[in-house]
Amino acid sequence: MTIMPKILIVDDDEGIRTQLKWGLEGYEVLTADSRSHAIELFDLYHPPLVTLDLGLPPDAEGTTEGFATLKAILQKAPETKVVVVSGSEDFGNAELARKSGAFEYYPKPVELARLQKVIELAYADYQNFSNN
Amino acid sequence: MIIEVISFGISTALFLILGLVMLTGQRDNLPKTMLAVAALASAAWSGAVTYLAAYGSILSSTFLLELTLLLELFRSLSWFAFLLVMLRTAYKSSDQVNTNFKITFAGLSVFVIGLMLLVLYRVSGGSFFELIAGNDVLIGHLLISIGGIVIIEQLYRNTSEEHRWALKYLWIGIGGMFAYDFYLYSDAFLFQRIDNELWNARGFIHAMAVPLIAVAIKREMRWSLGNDSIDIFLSRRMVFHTTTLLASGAYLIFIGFGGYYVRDMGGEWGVVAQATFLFAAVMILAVLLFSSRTRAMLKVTIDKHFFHYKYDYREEWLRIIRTLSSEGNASKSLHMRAIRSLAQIIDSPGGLLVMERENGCFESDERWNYENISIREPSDSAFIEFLSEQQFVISLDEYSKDPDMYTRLGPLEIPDWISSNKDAWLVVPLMLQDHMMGFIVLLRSPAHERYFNWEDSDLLKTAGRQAASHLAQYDAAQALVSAKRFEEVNRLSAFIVHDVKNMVGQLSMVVSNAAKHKNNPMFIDDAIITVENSVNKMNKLLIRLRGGGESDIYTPISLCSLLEDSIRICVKAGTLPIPVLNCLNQNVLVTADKDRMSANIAHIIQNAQDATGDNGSITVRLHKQGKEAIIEVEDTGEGMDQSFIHDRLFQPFESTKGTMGIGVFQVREYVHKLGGQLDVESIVGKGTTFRLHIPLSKSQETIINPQVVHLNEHEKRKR
Repeated sequence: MTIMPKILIVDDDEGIRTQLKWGLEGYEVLTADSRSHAIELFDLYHPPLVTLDLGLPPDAEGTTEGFATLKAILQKAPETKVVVVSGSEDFGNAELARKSGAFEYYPKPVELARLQKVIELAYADYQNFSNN
Repeated sequence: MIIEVISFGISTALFLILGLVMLTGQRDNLPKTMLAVAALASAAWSGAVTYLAAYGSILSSTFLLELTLLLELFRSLSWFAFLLVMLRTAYKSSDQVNTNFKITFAGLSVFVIGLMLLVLYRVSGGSFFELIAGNDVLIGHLLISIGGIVIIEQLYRNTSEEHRWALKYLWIGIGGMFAYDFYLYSDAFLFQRIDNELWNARGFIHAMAVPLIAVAIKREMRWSLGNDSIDIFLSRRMVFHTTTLLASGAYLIFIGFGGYYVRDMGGEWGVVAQATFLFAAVMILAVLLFSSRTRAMLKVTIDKHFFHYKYDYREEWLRIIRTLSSEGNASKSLHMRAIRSLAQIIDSPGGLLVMERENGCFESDERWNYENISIREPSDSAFIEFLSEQQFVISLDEYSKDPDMYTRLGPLEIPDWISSNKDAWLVVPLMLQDHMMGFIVLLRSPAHERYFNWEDSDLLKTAGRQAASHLAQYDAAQALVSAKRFEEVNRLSAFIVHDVKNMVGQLSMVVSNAAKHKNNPMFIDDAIITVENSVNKMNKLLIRLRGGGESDIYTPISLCSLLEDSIRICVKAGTLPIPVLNCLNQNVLVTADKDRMSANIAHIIQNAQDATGDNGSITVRLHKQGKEAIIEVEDTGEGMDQSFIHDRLFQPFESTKGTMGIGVFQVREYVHKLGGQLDVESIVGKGTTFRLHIPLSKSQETIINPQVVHLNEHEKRKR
């Protein structure tokens, strides 16, 4: 059995976390509901892939926590592929996310097949990067 | 001789009565006292003249003669003093004027006392006729009489309408005395002798003033000039000075020419000429002072050519602003006040405000004593275009008399709804910068026809601009309120969209996951949890929608453990320095939403962490002070300067981090919502302290007090 790549799902919505766990095939799924929890898990497992919701507590309606998490992860491991998954209607956030080093910005609502594709692309990119 | 005795005798008696009557009753009235003094001085002087006329031939000493001359000057001084006191009553609102009054009075006193000394000097060295013939004394008397007339004119013009009907008799009476003195002394000056007939008549003339003064006193017992409708302005006084002085000068030249003519043509013409001059003098003064028509003409001429102040602009402006901004009567809207502020300038009894609407048309907005009509004027009509291009005040009288005056500037058609109203008088555009936001139709004043000129037009136009900016400000405030509401709805809908997206996402994932895992009981369990989660979310949404965007649950929360949680969140994130918690009181309860409260405090702590280097320190303190819980977050970071705290720290959407999220603004908003305060102290380079004052929860207050009582009782029982 091949070792499945790890992916860290950061989202404050329990339903999203649970269903992504079942839905994403071919990945070992870790889940976190806040910045601190995410960083804890990241330090433990060093996943190459992260999906990140921008609205995390304590600022669930804003984006500060999400961006802070993004920054912290990329500081620890710049090669990590972070897919920002956000329901924010402000498209300035998409640009800001890419500028801050996110691999892709994926607008909610989550559609499993499409997200799976984005994650595969991200993983391929990661592999290219680490092979070179 | 006998005529002089009778003439001055009557005058003496009447002034004596007037003076004594004025001395009775209340004493604390300065104008009244001054009138008494002036009347008694007149009586004394007339008495002295009478005595001199009766017994002068058998008197050996000139003492009485000297006394008479001095008394005449004292009498002039007293009347001056009275007039100036009256004038001061009119000016009493302004300190500056009071100073001017004092200077004027001091100047006049010096002048009259100087004359007295001159008289004394002359008396000690010369005979009566030489003395009278001395031109300097004559000129002095002339100047006194001219000064008296000038002050009378100031008083007459500055007397408010409602007092004028009474006080005009006072002004005519005293003015008559001065006018006659003017005539007498100008004649004496011209012919270098005092005319006997004129001198003898002087007693009668002065006596005639007394009944007029009495009428005024009877009509106006209060001796005040009123204060609200007196329009006095120093520069205006200057104009009127000139008017009367010019008139007096013209008269002197006239009488001078007449005098030369009489002298050259012989004495037979003398009496005829004098009678003519007397009549002419009375005529000119009467016309100047009391003919409203001539006065109006004169006023307009002077206003236009010499002085531009038909209004006291200071007063007008203060009144406009007062009317526009008076919140006193809430039932009167700003729009109503805008009409009134313009109407009162030209005594208009009513008006109609027409405002531009979003549809581009001008529609009737508010009316004040105006017929109830509803109008709509398209913005491309000739009338509207004329108004907004020319920015003119249209006088409908002028237009109907001479339409060319307006139409040569551009096409103009007065709409039917205005021209059919017989009372409509003026149309004033309300200009905001170069855009016309509306106009006001003013009604004509039924009581009296007012002369309308360029000055009224200018003032109305400017007042219209002022009103327009107030109205625009009001509209902007209204727009801001609706924008705020709109933003609230926007925020709520963003929240709804966010949650619905999450629910759609997870439920659709349940469906697609079910295709693969539907036989796995563990998946079924998770699917049920997911559905339950969605149901919870929907319930929360419903609560928030019903409550108008409010989903907070207010419970008493213990701040100390809340602070511990907040710090734990921040520490978990791995940022340094680690905050130190210091709870001085363990049991501090406030009523708030737990999640929101902890998020807000975590935000303040994170801010402190961002501002402080890893080697710095952060202290979180909690204590009670009175009915408040106080949370302090103190760091040793870079600090902020005053201008940053004042201008930027509390601005919504302002962040140094480049993202828009929960800001200090929102923290403060939340603290205010709880009835608390947020203070910031900061020293650049030393650090910052955020201090949250939050009211203790009511339950805690009520719990503490019985506990204290209980303890006391317990102790008592022990004893």
